[in-house]
Amino acid sequence: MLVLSRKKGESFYIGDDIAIVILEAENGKVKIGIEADKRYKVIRKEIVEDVINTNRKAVTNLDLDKIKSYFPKKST
Amino acid sequence: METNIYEFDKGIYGFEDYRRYDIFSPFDNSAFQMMEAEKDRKIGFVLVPPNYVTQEYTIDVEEEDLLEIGANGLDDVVVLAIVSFTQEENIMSVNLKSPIILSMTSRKGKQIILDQSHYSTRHLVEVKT
Repeated sequence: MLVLSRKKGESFYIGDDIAIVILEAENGKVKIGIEADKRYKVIRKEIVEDVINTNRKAVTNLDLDKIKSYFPKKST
Repeated sequence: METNIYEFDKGIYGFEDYRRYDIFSPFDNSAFQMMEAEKDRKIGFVLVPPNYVTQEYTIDVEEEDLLEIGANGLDDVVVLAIVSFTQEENIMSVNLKSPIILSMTSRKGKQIILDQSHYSTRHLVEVKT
């Protein structure tokens, strides 16, 4: 991992078209500004992890008997 | 039974290796559908239209996502949420924060994340039988 030290107000680029600026850095909390094309999705990592876990649980808890008892199968 | 294969170019979160899903309605209650990975039917999800479990589900689908699934306008898009069954009887958990969007014409799909929305990945609903 590349580690970079930046002060408040300083920026850096990722590639040619993503600019990151440190807006605030106080009390262990950093506020970051991101200037990038809309095709770059910015999603917080913990939300992605939450979605992955939720998907995995949906598959693990897939109890077909339970579902069938909730929604009886089509009698064609 | 009608079956339909949808392509998910990036899979869905946590299941990136599964890119083709069969989405069909095996239940009498037609609101609920099944989505099963074509290469492994054990990878299955129950889907429900979000409006079936919550009122006024409104989301912004980004232009880029519509392009990615080859959607021909918003009328071509179907939004479905993944259901998870909980230990508790008759309680299901619906992921409203990251729904599946499908294009009816291109038969492509994607799971999107509504990062800024107040919707939960675990919206609890009582099952009405």
